[in-house]
Amino acid sequence: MTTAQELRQKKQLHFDDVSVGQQLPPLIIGPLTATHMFRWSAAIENWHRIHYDQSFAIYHEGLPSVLGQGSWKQSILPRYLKDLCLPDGWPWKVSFQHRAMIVPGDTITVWATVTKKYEEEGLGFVDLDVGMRLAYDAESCPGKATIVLPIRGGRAIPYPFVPPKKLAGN
Amino acid sequence: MPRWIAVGRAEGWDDLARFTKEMKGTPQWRVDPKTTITTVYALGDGRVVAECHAPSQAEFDEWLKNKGWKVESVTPIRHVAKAGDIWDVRKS
Amino acid sequence: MSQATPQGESALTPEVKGVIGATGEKIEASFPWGIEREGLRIFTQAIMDPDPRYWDEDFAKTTKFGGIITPPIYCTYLGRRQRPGTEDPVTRAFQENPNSDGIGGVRGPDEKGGLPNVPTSLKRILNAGNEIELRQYPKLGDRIYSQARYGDIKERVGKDGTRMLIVTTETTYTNQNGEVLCILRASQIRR
Repeated sequence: MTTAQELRQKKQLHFDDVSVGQQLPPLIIGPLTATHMFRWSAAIENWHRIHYDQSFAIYHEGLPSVLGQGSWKQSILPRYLKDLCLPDGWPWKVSFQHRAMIVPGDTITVWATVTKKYEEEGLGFVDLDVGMRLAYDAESCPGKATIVLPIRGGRAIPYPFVPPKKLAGN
Repeated sequence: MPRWIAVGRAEGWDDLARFTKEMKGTPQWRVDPKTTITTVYALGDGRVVAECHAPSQAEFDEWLKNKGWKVESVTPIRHVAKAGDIWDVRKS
Repeated sequence: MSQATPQGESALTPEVKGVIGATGEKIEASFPWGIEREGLRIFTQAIMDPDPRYWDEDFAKTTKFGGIITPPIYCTYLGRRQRPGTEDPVTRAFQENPNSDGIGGVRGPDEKGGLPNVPTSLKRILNAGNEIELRQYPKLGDRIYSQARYGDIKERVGKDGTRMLIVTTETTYTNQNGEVLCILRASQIRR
């Protein structure tokens, strides 16, 4: 898990520093517990019993236990990309699907591998395969992402971010 | 999802450390996406009891065999009461 | 590998194609006081992100964001919270159905911003994936608005020749200045 100080002092990853095939630093979360899942449900007011009522999850829904929320995973992936891009890059987009269920006891490794890099309008775009892998090698959230990294000596990434016209429909 | 109780004997499972090793890790009780060993009891008389839901009893039988249980019985479950919650598990 | 022969008539009827682009009412997702610190604190702790950009004002001012920001898609969760002054939806849901799953019946009957139903007999719905596109992070005090539209509807043929629809709903989140914060695209399989 990262700390506030690490995020405060994070060194910029530049477009020049990444190469196709490179595995970027992962984010490890866990072991997750039913309490973590309950806390998330409360934070976003999601009262679905499968996330905090184990009897309901098992006996009514036939699930293995209470489940980690898809909505939580949906926030973790962009959060991970945000961390990779800090301080001045931009986590432009991520797409993903939900696969293996997360249950209490699971430890999750959020990962990214560089698949392509290209410049457009003076900015460095990096395509990634991403996911959230569980300890027993099940993939919970396979996806793809594009982040924008500054090029050394290049222009600052604008904020708010406006995607280049050529890439906007991608 | 059908649900069963198995009663039997499993050597060493009365030792908590061994019991933990056998049942703690997620793959130990989440056999596959649809098969879960939801509860296991180690009884005072040396027997063990396991509850499982699975598409068919075959998945449970396989788990029991892999765990080395000497199975005395496997019986389908009809109803469950859990601290005031009542579940007709034939419907779930 | 040869493709399975599609069975029956196309599910992408003129009526289904007709709802592509249908747009719901723009609604306010935030409460009148906008993005505030306490809700932000609870959320960031629930995603276990200790980033000081969410709470250290002095540090946040030194960043390119110029001040406190929120996590990437924090604004997209605001609309599901219970509005002050409304009937307790949890109590009502369980009074109506003691076996409620906690979400059925919890949402109010007068939900605004919805889209018309896709006019198809394919009723089974499966999640086919999500996409998140980020433009800027909301700030403290921002008021958040959302608007949904059917971005696209495509037909797909399964390995067994079954026809299904892939329905993509796009929800755009903006602030009080009309600036785009993020876009969420959710795809569903209808079969």
